[in-house]
Amino acid sequence: MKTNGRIATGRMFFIVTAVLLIGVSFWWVAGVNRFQALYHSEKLQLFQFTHPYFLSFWKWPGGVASYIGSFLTQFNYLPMLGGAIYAVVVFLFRLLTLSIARKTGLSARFFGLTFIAPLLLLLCMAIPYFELSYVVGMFVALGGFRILLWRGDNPFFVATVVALTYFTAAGCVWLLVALYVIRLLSCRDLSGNRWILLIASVASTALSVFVGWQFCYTTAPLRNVLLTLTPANITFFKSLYVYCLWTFFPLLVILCALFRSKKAAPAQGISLVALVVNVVCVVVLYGVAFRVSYDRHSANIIKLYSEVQAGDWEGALSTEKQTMPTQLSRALTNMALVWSGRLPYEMFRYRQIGTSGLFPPRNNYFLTLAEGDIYGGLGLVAVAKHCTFEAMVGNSGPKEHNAQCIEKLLGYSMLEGDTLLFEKYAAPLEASLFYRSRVKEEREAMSRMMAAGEIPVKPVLDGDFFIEYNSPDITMQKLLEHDPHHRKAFEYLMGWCMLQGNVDAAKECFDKYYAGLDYPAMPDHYAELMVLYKNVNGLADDFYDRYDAGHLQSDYEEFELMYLASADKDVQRRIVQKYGNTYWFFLNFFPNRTEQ
Amino acid sequence: MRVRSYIRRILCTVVLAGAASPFTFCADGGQHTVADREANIFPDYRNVTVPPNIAPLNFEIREDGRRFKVVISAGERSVEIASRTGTVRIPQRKWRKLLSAASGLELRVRIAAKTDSGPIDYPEWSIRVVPEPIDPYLVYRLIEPGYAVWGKMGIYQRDMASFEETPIMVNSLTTSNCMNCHSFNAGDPETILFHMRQNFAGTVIAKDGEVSIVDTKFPDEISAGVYPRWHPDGRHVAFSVNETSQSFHTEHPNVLEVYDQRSDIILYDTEEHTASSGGAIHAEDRFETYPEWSPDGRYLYFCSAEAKELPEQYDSLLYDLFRVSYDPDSATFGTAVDTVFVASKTGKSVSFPRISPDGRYLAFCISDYGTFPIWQQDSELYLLDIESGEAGPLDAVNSDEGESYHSWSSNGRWMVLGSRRLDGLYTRPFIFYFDSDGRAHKPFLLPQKDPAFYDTFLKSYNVPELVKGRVGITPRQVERALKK
Repeated sequence: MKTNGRIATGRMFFIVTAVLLIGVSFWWVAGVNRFQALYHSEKLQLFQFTHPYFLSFWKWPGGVASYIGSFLTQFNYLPMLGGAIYAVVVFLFRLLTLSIARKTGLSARFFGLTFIAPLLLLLCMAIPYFELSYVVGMFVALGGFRILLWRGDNPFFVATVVALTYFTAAGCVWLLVALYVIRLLSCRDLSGNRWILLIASVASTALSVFVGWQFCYTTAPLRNVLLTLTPANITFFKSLYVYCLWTFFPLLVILCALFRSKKAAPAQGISLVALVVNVVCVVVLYGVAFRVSYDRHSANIIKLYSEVQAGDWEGALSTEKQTMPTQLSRALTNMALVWSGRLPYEMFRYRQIGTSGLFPPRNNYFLTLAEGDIYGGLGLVAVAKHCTFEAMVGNSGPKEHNAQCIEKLLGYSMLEGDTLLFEKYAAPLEASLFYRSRVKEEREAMSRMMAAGEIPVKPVLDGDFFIEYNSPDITMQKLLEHDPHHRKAFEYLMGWCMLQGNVDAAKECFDKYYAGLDYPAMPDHYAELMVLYKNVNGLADDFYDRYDAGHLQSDYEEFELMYLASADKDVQRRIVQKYGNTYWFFLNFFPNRTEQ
Repeated sequence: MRVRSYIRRILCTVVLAGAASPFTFCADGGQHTVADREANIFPDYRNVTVPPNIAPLNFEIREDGRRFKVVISAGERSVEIASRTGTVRIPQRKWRKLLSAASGLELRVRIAAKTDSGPIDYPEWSIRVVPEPIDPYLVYRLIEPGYAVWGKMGIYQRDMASFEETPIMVNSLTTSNCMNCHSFNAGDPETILFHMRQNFAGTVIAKDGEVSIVDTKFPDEISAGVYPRWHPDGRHVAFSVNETSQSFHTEHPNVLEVYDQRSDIILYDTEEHTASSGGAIHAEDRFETYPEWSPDGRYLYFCSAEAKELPEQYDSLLYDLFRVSYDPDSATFGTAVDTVFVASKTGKSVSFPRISPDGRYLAFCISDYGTFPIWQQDSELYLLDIESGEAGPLDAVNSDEGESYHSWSSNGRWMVLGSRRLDGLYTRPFIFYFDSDGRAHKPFLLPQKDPAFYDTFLKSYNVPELVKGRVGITPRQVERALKK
């Protein structure tokens, strides 16, 4: 609609932009970044509808914001619903930004600026470990600021809003105070004494922090009392986008002060040129930002993790190709290979980084959890339970126990037929919204299986030994001593020895256990190993009478010749093409990886 | 408008429904039945003995029913509680009045339920209230029953007469380090020590409100002090020094083993900051641990086992109970070691010896082997009558799961015991009465405001110690002392 040569940015325009923003947000969160934005955050908490759970948030600065954030995050269990909630949150964020911008007098010519905050928020949402609590905290601070813009001329009112903001959203009070102070110092037509208002806001902040520190949050370190829910206090939260999001609002208020429109913004129309420029800028900005910020590695590794959890080996192995070779991604890939029976055939088709990619060190939550999954898959339920428990308790975030670990522990208790512990882990899950039906099903399944004598599952061992966490090869050896037919343990041990480059140990393991494992034919990588062993040790050809690998002898000879000539780029290309997936290639071209 | 009228309609329905159906024991309609068994409740407070200063024994009725009514009475006085969910929360003030009315007598508890098939009355049960109070505070460490890793942990005190729990120290103030082994001088809240590990390694000693940090690792000793016991003089502390390891089972009910590869006992002087060896206690081929003073301070009891190759022989490591005399004036131990209780002959092992304040009884844990009953499913609480020399299990107290740390109340009539009986993993504090005839009564779970609290609470109550008053030090005080 045109009025006096200007386009009115009326209701229809608002609805169109709102729909577009919600649609883009939903696509970005539930489509592109589904795994790190939704799956990850939901699994790392367990929202419970219990009194003690509610109270546990009050002991910590910003507890109210955290509680609301956790409440909303639980809906990520249903990704579409979670995505919709995130999209609505982004939309509301834009509304708040728009409202602040209008109230501070932003000219309608710059309406595109109000889309920057939602964009930054969307980029933040794609960071793994980002929590909605931070958004809630910002909402509280910005909402407080909006209220002060409306009625910020009463010192007591100002002090009250500031105090409420602190006890709801902790460190976000600094954002509120910063915005308010900027506003006070930059606004010319302010009613009330600006210095009294300034003192009221600063004094209220100081008093709130002091009261919080001395009386409310007596077990929180000073840093948390001051900075919880700010980018400064969370190590994994340190992302450029988060800092940008925080600094955007003070900049916006400063800009508004500098380019203040004399007329009230809502009634204004803008020229067609300005409209087009704004729309083009916003579209380009969103496009570039999404393109640049998309963290393919994080997205894929969490996707890979969820696929392994779901037992989708094909999906996992196809996702693997898009991940960087880290300890976690290798461990997950190798798990997918072992559980699908393809490790002896395809292990070196995938980028290996050494033994740490087979049995990862327990350096962090995911690696510890992955180690538990490995031992669980090998049938060592008690060990798997141990690893899962340690992953859970070692992940000392404010939310402590999470759905991912408790679900696993419930499953392990079920396998062991431990009804007492099953009920123990069932209780927190039953206190949640989405896991209670699952628990009910599992309880019924457990009762059925126990009645049928199927659980407790028969232990894989007929005896007991102490596990060697730092030497998984020893554990695998002990496991094989107890159960020489344990194919997965055999494959893990062979894999370990081969990744170590310990050809002798691998052959010894092979000689000891291979015959009892009913392989239809010698797997490719084991045949490559035997050829290597034979040639390295200069053994006679009758070696192949015992080891069915003679068909690879000529290939090995060719590989050796090519290896010797591998300074030539053409040879390099051919060797990668023909032998890039062999053990020989790994051993000769990545010797340093055997040490990892 | 439509919404408003809808809300009004709902409100009217709720109010009318509430008013129209007063629920009584022999309420309306259906066939009235009397159950042939007591109602199933959690925690199980049926027929327990409680002190006059215990918090309300809130519980959940775990029976089918749409409504429940509970009447708790003591003589003329009674409290009536109605519940739709089966959760019974007894108002604190009314509970206190009930307790004072029933002191030396019994509280009678009647439960009725309204079910789909009609009202049910369950048989009445009682709670015996004895006049002897329990110490007013319980101090414990809250920690996940983990293995080698931990998250948040802290040492807390709980007011036994209410549900108030306050922290004494938490690791969120000190980079999530480990802290352990809090100990009081005969339950005196003014004299406490505990260890801090990792970044703030040291032993925190608080005496009369003054907090100091000391290093109890002396050059010739195996380790810094581990398991402490204050001498009644309030100056000396007997510490075990242990080189402790853990090994993890693959198929074993005990999950893991905690064992000492070397251990000894030292005497630490908190004023001079010196340590002396335990003299006759020390033997080259033995492991000594878990010191415990007699109330008069003239004997030190301790556990000792023949040294073994570990972890290979972990299940043949058997500790017996010994004692050595001690001269408080010269702060020296005697030269002869007396045998108090030989468990190894029967293939058992002793740990956590604790002597009653009157010096007559000694409670300890007995397990099949080893020195860490917290992780031993077979661990049971035993009692030794020091006068008669008779010893035996406290059957009224023990369960199928492991019993571990225990502590006497200062009047010797109450004990608190850490037990995993609820789920086999999470240690919970159970309290039991110990009468003047030396009999233990049925233990009851430390009451909580929300009776379902323990269901979803994923931390263990470690080292529950009864204390004679509120511990005055605060986490901030300890933090300041540590960061000085």
